[in-house]
Amino acid sequence: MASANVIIVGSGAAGVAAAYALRGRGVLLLDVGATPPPGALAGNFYALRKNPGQADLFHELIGDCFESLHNVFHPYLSPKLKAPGMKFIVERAARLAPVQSKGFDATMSFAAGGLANAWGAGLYRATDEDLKAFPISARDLDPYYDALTEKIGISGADDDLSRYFGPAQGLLPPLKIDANGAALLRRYEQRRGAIRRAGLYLGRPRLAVLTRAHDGRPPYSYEALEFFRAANPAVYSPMATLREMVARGEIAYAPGLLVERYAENGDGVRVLARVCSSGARREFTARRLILAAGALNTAKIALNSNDDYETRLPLLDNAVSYMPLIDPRRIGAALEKEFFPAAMLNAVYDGPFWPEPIQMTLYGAAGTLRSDFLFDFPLPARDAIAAGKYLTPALVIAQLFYPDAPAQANYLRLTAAGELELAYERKKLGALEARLVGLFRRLGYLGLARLCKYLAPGSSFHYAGALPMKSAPRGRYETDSNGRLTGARGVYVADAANFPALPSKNHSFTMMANAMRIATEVGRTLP
Amino acid sequence: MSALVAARRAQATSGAPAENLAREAEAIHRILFGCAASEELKRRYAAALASAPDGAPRHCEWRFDAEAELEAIEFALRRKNPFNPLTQRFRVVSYLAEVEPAFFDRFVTERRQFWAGVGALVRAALRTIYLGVKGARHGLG
Repeated sequence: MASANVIIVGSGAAGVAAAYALRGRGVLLLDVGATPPPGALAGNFYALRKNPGQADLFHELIGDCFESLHNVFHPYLSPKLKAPGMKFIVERAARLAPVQSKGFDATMSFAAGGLANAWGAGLYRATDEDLKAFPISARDLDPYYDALTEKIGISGADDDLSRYFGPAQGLLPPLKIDANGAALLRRYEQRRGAIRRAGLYLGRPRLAVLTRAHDGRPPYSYEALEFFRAANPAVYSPMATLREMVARGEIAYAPGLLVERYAENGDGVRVLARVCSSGARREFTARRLILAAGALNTAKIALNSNDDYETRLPLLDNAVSYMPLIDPRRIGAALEKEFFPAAMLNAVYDGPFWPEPIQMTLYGAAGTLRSDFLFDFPLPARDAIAAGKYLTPALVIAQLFYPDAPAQANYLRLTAAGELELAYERKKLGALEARLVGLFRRLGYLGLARLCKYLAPGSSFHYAGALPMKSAPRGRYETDSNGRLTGARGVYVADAANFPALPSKNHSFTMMANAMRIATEVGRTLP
Repeated sequence: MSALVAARRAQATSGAPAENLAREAEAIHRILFGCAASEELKRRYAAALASAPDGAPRHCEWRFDAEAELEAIEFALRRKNPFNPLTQRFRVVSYLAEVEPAFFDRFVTERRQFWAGVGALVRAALRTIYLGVKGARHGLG
């Protein structure tokens, strides 16, 4: 039986941030820990494909098991997770964490680094408005946001979005903007007063992507391979910090283990895990346990530890819509080979048509295979390809994240068979998109509300809320403001399972800062 | 559903041997790109369909020797259900062609081509109407 001061479960963004706060203090991190395949693509996405002297990139872009065709035959999976070089992120989830879905398409990761291997790298501070349902304020998180900014290296700018994304100090210069994004930003600047009065604000994204060398990592070199290759050292991944801490002997890491349950005893916590390769059980002990296995799996471990197959815990998710917009002046524009294929700009709608600010991420469409979306054009197949070639450089896709709060119909439950039952009632969306199409038309962009796509619940990967933080927690499935489960002496929740609500914002940075805050508090309780 | 469509369905292939799948890939490729498919693409097409889950149709029910009809039917079906088996097959061919270096410029504008783009859009608009009417004649409008 191995023992440690603190056991952390999970190596995603929250688990690694918690481990970083406690490094050097007897941390053992338990994880399944799948890793990327060897021989990843190297070079530029378009230069590699154009090279006539080279064999095609079928194996890398489509895959020997036709991984990239996933969305042809199966329910939608983010293009960032379906490429052959990315499938390690999710490939064991169905077996390790079976789900009974009632309207909720859950995506779970058991990879080292978790879903952050495929994240858009957007890191945004929460405001007090975002945290109004939390028992903590933005000020409580500020020291941890600052420490993470210093560690990770975040690029961005001080612009109209700073009031929503927080102060810009400590940021690296923003990434080079592509012509598509530059055209939109230029038109926004030209009509800034009127557009802002209408409630629309635009600015540069805050990205965990280096624009200069930092902490031993190189700057981003615009290979545009983020949809096909994980672990670019210029794009921060928790896996990098995990490896760094292990190499320095600052934490102990035990991969290949699926944590199933815990039990508190007199002076600590026993943790029971299953060895993935053999099915054998292993037991670990620690003074404190920090659960950071992802909101769904953390909740599952808590329910399983109580042999509870009845309780329905809250399930939160940012509903997502995609709004395509066309800049007619960029029809047929020449390809830019060097760009960052995730967020090129952000926008916030803070006007009369929605009760709270709504964050949007604005993308171009050049970072994926075009076959991913050409058949979404309402054109005959031949024309979808022929005209799509010219339309793609003019295409801007606005991804909207809607906030979420607990609702009776949306829950997770552990069944006696060990499956997670996930139920979620789809929200009716579309009214805001219709207004936003009109606002972007004022910037010269063409769009049709009926071409917007509304993804199934669960598509955001922003899951939260099952074990919420409360200032006065009740029952065994709520935590105090320091993440400690009610009734437990040494069991803490450090991932988004402890978010009592989900704001309209990428929640990764707040989850990481909160995990550091909770781990720091745990550290204070250690002898 | 029109009698014509029903008749086409009646000619369903059974067993979908490799040569049938190769013919399918060839026909779809000609519709999408106006030229013959490579042998490699045909082989991959058959393998891709073989890898489809049980819920996806291994055996397509449409005749692949009338290109204009087939394109109209695919367009009409896609508007009703984007995951219909015919559109799935068109999408597979599109993916497989896109990664072939020879088809790179079918998907990407390497230099500015504004007027070519406008022309393609005008042509697409006209063909959308034409094929929409054609699909309606099949009872699929």
